[in-house]
Amino acid sequence: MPVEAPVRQDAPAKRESSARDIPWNVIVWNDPITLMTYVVLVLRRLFGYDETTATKLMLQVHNEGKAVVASQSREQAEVSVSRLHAFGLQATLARG
Amino acid sequence: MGRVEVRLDARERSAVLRMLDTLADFRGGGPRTIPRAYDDPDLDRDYQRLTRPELEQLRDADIAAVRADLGAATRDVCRLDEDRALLWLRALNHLRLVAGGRLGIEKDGWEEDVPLADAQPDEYAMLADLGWLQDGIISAMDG
Repeated sequence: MPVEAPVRQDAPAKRESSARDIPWNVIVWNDPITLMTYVVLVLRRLFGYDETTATKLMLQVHNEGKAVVASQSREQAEVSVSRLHAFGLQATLARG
Repeated sequence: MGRVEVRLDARERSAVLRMLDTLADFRGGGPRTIPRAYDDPDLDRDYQRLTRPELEQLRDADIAAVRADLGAATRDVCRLDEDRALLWLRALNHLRLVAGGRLGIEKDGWEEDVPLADAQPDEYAMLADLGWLQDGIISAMDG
């Protein structure tokens, strides 16, 4: 009886692993209503940033319309975005 | 971080409660209060399906808690620990977003175009008053 040659199975798993490793950017968008002091506080509380870093990111949001506030796995980024939404910030996630 | 003391006399507490009642009726709906997470509409639809109910429950709970705290003020003072202060800030921010949405505010610099007081929709005053309260709490937390 002929024996079939074994088929390698590792290639798809490698591609899935690589896809999972690509970080997703957490992006905060400017909003004309939300106070800048509030944005700084939220960034500090949710991401542990110091005052200087949080203020720098807030100013980038204010002046440029948006800022990447974190780069995380997709799952972590979704959690971060949902927490930002809970605080009323406009936030999205996108592939890095 | 210690407690935050929010000092509002009876008149001020009544005013905040009226704002809660007015804006809470119009909560929800619109891009600001239902922010998207993904540019891809299919991905965002899945995200909203999973997260929106919880988000709306959180907002309802936050607003109810602020209402309860205002009602329970002792000698014109509401004492908040850090978690409670964050809850107040979330609630106040949400109400400001609703007010801003009702006014159709889309761009920065809107403060320069506020109509004269006599012709001013109530929402402008609400934005100012709730913003003042938010800033006060943030300053107290940072102090």
